[in-house]
Amino acid sequence: MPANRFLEKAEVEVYANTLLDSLNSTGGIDAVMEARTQMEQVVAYNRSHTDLLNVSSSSEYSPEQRNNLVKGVFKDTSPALASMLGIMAERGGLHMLPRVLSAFNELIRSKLGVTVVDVVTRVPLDDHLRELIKNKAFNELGGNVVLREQIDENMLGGIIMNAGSKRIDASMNTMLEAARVALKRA
Amino acid sequence: MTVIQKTKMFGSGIAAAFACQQFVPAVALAEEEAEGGISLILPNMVEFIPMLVAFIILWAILAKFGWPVFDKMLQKRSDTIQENLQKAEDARIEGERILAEYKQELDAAKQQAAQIVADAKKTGEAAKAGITEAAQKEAADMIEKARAAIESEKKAAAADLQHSVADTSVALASKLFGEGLSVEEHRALIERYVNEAGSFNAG
Repeated sequence: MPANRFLEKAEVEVYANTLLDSLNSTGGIDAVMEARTQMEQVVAYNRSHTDLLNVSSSSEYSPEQRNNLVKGVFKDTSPALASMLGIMAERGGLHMLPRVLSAFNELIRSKLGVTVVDVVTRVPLDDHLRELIKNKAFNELGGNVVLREQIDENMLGGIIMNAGSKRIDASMNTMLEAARVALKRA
Repeated sequence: MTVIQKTKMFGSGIAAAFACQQFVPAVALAEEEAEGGISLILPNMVEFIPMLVAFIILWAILAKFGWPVFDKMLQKRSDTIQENLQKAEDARIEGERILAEYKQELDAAKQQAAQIVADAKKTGEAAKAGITEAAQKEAADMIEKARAAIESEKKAAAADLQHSVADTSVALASKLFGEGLSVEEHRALIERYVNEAGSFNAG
């Protein structure tokens, strides 16, 4: 229902704002980035473990039980994030976490002026490459560029850069796949 | 007078004539012996007249009673022959008519047979031409289909080969890139890609 969607959107923004403010005030950008990473891991976990989502929205458990359960599961995350996840479970809204993450990313850029670029490579970046990528992102996207590096052994080579909804895929896998398709079509 | 009575009278006349003849030669023979010369070739009137009378009587009897019967028999015979001749003539005419009809029918049959043969020949020629044309068309279709199948197989084989070459090439390149490059080479590659890759705002 439209009314529910508006309410959920407002609720999502409240969660994202509250978390960002809390993290930024206590630990600065580093805490924000760390919580962002943890939130991504929680989203991925929930996708592969639907039982937790089902329990968190079940009426067989009291809101307090759901809060305690989820906080217990994610006790190793930052306290602000764990607290927010508990509250979401208590209110039966843990399924909104992916949208909270999107809103959180948007707030990082709009409120903190930080452009987060997720970089995936086969080998670790050196300082020269980091600087190069930051400059490219700054020139094209602006803001204070923060790189989040990830090593993927399955990659043949190259690099994948994601900045929010914007993406540059310069991986060897993609290039070879494109070459394979081109060769087959020729 | 019935025919039987006439016949009996005819028989009596003949018997009387025979009796006179039996009597006359005996007298003549007696006189013959008494006379000779020319009298041998001249008729003896004593014999001749009775013989003549007997002959006339016989002739009259025959003319009166025998001839009508005989004439009637002849007439009947003639009528029978005439009738038979007429029948034979009629039969001949009928036979000629039937023969003419047969000949006419035979000619018609021959003509019809010739027409049938001609039609059959014509039909056979047409069928032969049709069968030949159909066979040629079928053969042409089969050749065309075979060509299309061969062409399709060639294209499929070429595509398979192309895919195989593409897969092999990519697999080889993947192996080379994945295992053959050092960390520095990877980093050099990343630097090149960052510089040459498109913009975040491109798409």
